[in-house]
Amino acid sequence: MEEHDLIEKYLRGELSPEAQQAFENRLATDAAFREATELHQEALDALRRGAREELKATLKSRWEPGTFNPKRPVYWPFWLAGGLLVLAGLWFWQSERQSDMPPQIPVNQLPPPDTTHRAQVPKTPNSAPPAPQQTEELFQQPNTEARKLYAANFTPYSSSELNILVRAFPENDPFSLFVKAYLAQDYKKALTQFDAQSDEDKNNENILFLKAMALLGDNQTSAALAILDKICSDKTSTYLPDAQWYAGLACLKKNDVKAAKRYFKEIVNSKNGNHPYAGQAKDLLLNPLLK
Amino acid sequence: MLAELRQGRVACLTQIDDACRQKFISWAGKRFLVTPNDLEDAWQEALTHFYENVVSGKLVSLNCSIATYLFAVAGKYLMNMNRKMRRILWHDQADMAMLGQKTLGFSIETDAWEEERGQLNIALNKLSEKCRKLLYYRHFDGFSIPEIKNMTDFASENAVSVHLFNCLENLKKIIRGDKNKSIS
Repeated sequence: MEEHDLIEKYLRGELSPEAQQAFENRLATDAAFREATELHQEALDALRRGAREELKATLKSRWEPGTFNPKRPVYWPFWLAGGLLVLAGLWFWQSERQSDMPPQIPVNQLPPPDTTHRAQVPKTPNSAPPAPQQTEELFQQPNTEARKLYAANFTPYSSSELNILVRAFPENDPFSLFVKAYLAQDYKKALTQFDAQSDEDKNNENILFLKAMALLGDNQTSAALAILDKICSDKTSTYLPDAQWYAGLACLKKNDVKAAKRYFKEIVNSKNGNHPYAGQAKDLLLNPLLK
Repeated sequence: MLAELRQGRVACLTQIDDACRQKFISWAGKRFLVTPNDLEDAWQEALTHFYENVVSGKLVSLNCSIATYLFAVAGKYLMNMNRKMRRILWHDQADMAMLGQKTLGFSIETDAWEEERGQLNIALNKLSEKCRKLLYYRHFDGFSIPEIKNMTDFASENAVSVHLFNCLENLKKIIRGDKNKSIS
């Protein structure tokens, strides 16, 4: 017991300098004592290590599985927000694009043209050629408020009489081919077919009106407007109401707001009060751009 | 806090563990490319090392926060474990301590005794639970004989001393026996 205490005090560094010196002298000379000291040290080391393991086990028992899995930054809310932003952007772009497109008015709601004075133009059943080609060309051009207004209100001219016309004439008749091409929205072909008309027909106001529509559809706005202006100057023309409306729209397309406004005012102030485009013109004049 | 740890022992250590563990995981996660197991081992090592040094009286004061000390110990452990480990940021006190720019007064033991662990566990397990606990109190937790007497149901301090002596002698015999076995 005494030797045990002595060894323990030595290992704990609790001996006086003299006692420590004496202890070390004995270690150097007494092999059995040295062995006993080494064994004591070994036992204490074993204890310490065993106790460390036990402490570690105690600590570990307190930790939930996965405690030390590094917490990765939570990115999904950012991805979600980004995705929503992109969707919102796409929706906005799409809605802006749709507002630039001509409104899809059902054929039966199209304003009926006044054909009472069109002696040479028989009436035909409905057919309303949409104008994707025409609008695609439009979007390639710089967008302005006036152009947007034009796009929102423009619908390619059509009437039931055009289909009757096609059927009324022989299949290869130049006039029939012209109207067919126009109804098929092939405006370039229609314009080519127009050139094949007889000189008399080329000066026919009704056919010229369709040519103006084809020119408008082919994005030749100035040429179309020249014809429409001419028709508008003839206050007895069968196509006067249509020409006024499309001339106004053509002016918008050319960004000539002042001229457009003049045409729409003419429509609204039409004497007979039954102008087929009066309501639309009135609405347009309420637009801030035309006020 | 160190004095409290000396008094409160393991209960106080668990409080420190709860307060600093998540911060350590975050801190080490940014600096080392390690597995969760490595982090756990390093944190265990740091807490154990800290506790041992405090209760043994080797660590009586700190020139930094306990968290910094623990992070530095654990960080050094991780570095020792894998020196090729990628280090990303080095800028705080614990980093400086690991790089030797600041002295915190600690050293990490190499785990050279790993192979002996099994043998020692067997030796310690041959002791009774009461003996093992008594020896841990005295030789690891650093409790004095009077403190152990108060913590246990021994009638006197002398009885504690006698039991401690007998338990340690038993352990020595077991170690000696195991050694002789392995030699033969």
